[in-house]
Amino acid sequence: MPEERRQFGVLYRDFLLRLVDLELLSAAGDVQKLLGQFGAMLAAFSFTITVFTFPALATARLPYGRLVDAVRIEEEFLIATTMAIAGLFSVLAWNAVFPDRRDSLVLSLLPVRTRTIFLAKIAAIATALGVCVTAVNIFTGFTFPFLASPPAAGFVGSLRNLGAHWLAMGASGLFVCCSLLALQGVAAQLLSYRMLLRVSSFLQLAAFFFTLGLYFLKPSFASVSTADSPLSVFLPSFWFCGLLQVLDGVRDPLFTALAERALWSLVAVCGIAVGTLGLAYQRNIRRIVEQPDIAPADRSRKPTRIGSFLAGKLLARPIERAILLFTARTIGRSRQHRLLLSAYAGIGLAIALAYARDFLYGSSSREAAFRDLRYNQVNGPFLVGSLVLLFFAVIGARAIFAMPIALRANWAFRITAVHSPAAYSLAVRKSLYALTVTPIWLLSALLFFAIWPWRFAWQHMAVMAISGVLMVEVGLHGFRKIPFACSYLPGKAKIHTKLGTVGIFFLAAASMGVRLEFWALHKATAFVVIFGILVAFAIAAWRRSVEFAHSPANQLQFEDLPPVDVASLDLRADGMWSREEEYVDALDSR
Amino acid sequence: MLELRNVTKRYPGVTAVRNVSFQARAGEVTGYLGPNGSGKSTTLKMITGLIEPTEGEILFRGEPIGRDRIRYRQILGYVPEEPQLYPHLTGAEYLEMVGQLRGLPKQQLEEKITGFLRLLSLYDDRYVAISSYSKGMRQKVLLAAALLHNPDLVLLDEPFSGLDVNSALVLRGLIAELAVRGKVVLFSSHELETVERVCSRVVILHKGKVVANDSIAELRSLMALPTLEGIFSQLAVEQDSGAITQQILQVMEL
Repeated sequence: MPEERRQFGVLYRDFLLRLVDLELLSAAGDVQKLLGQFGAMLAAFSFTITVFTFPALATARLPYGRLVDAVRIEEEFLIATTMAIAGLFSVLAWNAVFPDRRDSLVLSLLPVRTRTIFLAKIAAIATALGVCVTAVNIFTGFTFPFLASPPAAGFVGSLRNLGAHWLAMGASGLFVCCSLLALQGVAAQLLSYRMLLRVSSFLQLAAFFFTLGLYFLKPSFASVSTADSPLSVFLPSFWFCGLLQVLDGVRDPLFTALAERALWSLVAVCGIAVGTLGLAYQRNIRRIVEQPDIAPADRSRKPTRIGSFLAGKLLARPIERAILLFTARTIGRSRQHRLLLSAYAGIGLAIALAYARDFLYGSSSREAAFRDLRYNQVNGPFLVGSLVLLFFAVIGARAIFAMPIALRANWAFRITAVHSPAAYSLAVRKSLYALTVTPIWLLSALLFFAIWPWRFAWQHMAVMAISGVLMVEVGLHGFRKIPFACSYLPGKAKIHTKLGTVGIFFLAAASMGVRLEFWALHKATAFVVIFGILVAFAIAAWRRSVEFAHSPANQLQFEDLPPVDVASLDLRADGMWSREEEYVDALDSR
Repeated sequence: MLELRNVTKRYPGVTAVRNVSFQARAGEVTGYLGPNGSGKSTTLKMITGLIEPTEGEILFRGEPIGRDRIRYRQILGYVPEEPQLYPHLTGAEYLEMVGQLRGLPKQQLEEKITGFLRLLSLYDDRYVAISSYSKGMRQKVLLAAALLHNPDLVLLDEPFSGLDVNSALVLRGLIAELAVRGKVVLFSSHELETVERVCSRVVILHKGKVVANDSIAELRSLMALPTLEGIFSQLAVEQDSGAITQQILQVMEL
């Protein structure tokens, strides 16, 4: 028994540090730094909510009953936020739920019981979930519970409210996490291991989009009236808000019914998760060893062939075909890259949904672009949504381009680097256009030409096309890498923070720009002027990229190291060419 | 002809290769031998241009390889020691990518890929991801990628690793035939029997230094030893293998 406890301790520590897919991080896995940043971000969110909401409620001169109603709406928002964070954490930790092949190979040879491995994994997940829930409630959790305490509650009453608040938050986070674990557990029971590998990443993405979609599209708690209304039945954040009210001592049949639903659901998903995962561990550990990590997919399928055919037809130069196909295949087949790109796309989608929310619940905006919304007339939410999706797809792809796949295999690119760096730059830009701007533009065109008058659809599609050029040319300025073929060092997790900051600025600019576009769409001259300005910016960005591509500073980069470090290791500086060589593309053109 | 002149490679605290000089001529297979850690792979990586020598010069056809690296890469074929490939691509896709990066015309590339895949018994697995390939299959993909552009200089670092008997026999014949066709072939291996059959000359490296550089026949006669294994043991093996075996057993039984 003591031996098992020691094994549990060792495994628990190891699993805890590897809970988030390390391959999403930099080469050396700066996991602690990333987790610190993530925790700080959640705490900052909690702080912002506290600063903006708590004083307003605390100083509001409202009758007690109305104050309690107002606080309840905020509490439901906090519960929904906690659930969304728990959902995102579960999606991030998705691939760590089952031991991977390497773990299984090592552990199945050692005298360690499957039960110990399973318990250590569950404990690690529970710890990390606890940290997430605590971080996102760290400020609100010690302020909001005291807002709605009855005047005569006293110290003990306030303590009860505090306990109730944390209990409800913890239970709501646990519910979401266990729901997603149960989903995996049930899938593991129903599917063969090979099939599970294939389906798992799609389930993961579906869970991600579902979590974000639900969070941004759900109505306010004020709209719930009876325990049988569809909102009460289907929205878990409402159930746990009901639970919080009951724990606070509020006696109301609606809250009692919601609380019962919350408790039964929590028990059910916890039971299913533990039961199915436990069984899956017993069944799968041996089978994981026998199977490759990546299911040996048949790559002869139509999409692969169509992709190769299109690349062959659209891109004349072999190097451009090589880079485009390599990029597309990596995004399509690498779980880590696909997940990160989906995260960016998911943020874009969430913002677009947040704008589209007004279609469901009405808009209080007085601005022309956002009031009297009708989907079949040009409107602000669709204008912003399409641009936001385009932007997040471009910056998401730009971010994942910097993350390597099978770094040690990049010697193939080094040894075949017979083209000028400018040829590589052009190939990378074309790949980004082909994989992000083109599909989103085409999908938007299909939608807008179907629902809007053609004149507006044409105008907006022209704006989108030019915006896409601007985004790609600005996003790739100074980019000297072949996608996925350059090393990625500790500290690079900050690229996501940097891109996040750019994203916030973009949102502000897009929001203003769309108001301008909406106005110009109805005035031909104004539209021509604004479109002309956009085209001028796009041409300037394109020329800047071309100049950089042909400048001596543009040399292919395979090592993400400052030059001094490259020299000290005596590695060959990449692309250190005399510029007197004759590149293959120069020879071809003769 | 490939020529190394006093090539040295130093890393902080360790000299991997020390004053290595030898020539590998066109029409010959030059064997490059040495115990683990003697600097063979480092030398081959320097010849490919993946790493730079700290001192010394590497020349191909009389010109330093760094003078026109692009042209040099076009005539270089390299099979590395470890089969590092992109696991998410299929064998055919990997070869297609390498061929496209080298700028081979589409039609020619397709014919070559099909030909290599068929002849190396990979055709049936052409749509299977490399992650599912065995070590021998990966080695074959590397070999095809190295020969795809008909290189003049072929560097083979442990090319027999993981190959089955049939494939090894094919490769042995292929190496000899490449030399007959006027290629410069530098071949590093631990399989002394194969080296003895295929190579006309050998360079033996020990602790980063060249300890022998001659034809196998000349070495046999000079050292009065009948086999390459005997010559190698004499020059590059310091340990008493029997004694080491006993010591390992003693440690195991502690």
